[in-house]
Amino acid sequence: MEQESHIILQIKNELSELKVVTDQLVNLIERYQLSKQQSHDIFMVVDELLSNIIGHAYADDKAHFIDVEITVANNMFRLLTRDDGVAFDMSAERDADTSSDLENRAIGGLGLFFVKKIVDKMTYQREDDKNVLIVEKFYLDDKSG
Amino acid sequence: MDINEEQRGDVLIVSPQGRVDSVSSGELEVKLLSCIDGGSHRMVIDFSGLDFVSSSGLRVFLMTAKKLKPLGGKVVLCSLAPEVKEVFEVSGFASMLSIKSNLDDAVAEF
Repeated sequence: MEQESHIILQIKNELSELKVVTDQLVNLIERYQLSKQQSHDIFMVVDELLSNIIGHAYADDKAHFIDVEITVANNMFRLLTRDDGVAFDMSAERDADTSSDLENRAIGGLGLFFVKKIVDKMTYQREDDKNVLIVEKFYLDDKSG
Repeated sequence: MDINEEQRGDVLIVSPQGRVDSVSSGELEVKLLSCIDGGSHRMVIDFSGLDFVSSSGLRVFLMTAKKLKPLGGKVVLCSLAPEVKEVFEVSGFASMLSIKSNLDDAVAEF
């Protein structure tokens, strides 16, 4: 089996486009026989970060394109997103408050909270009026979660 | 997404299949709201067919609990896969929602 595999695509800023990404991810995860925990981590990071960009990055109603690059191997995965939305450093955002009760819970920051809980490294750069976010997760061995 | 339903006594068992993500959570929300509007106020959500839940999914389960509470109803979740259960635990939702290990225990809550 190859050392690592890549998914490189461009999606529109519409939630339905996430299915294009997850369909390709399903194939990749099956090929690498990743653990259920690893699979869940990857889907979580991809879903939360891309839905965040699609839902919050754009100040207009126009169509935009988001570059998505995913690398999957037995012991790591990496996601790169590149969007032309308003400058926003997700890596610097405050975590969600997870101590408040059911009635007062603010849902907004929860997705980012999960991503930060999962990934080992998160880097953000503003390049040529674009947000470039890279997150990486490393596993100790190919069966660990 | 496929969402199965089964009525057991006065308890409605809803079993979504696959993944509750940013794309499918809207569909599940519409389904659960229509069940509540249709008079199902005692509800079990069976997670045995689910292998992924994102924060948008959590929002739907929270919404269901908040809708049922003033109606004197309740929702109990059951049969969560370990990875899914962890999402509820790290977010703090596990302590705020009723979660049982299997379907029979969940139905017995009513």
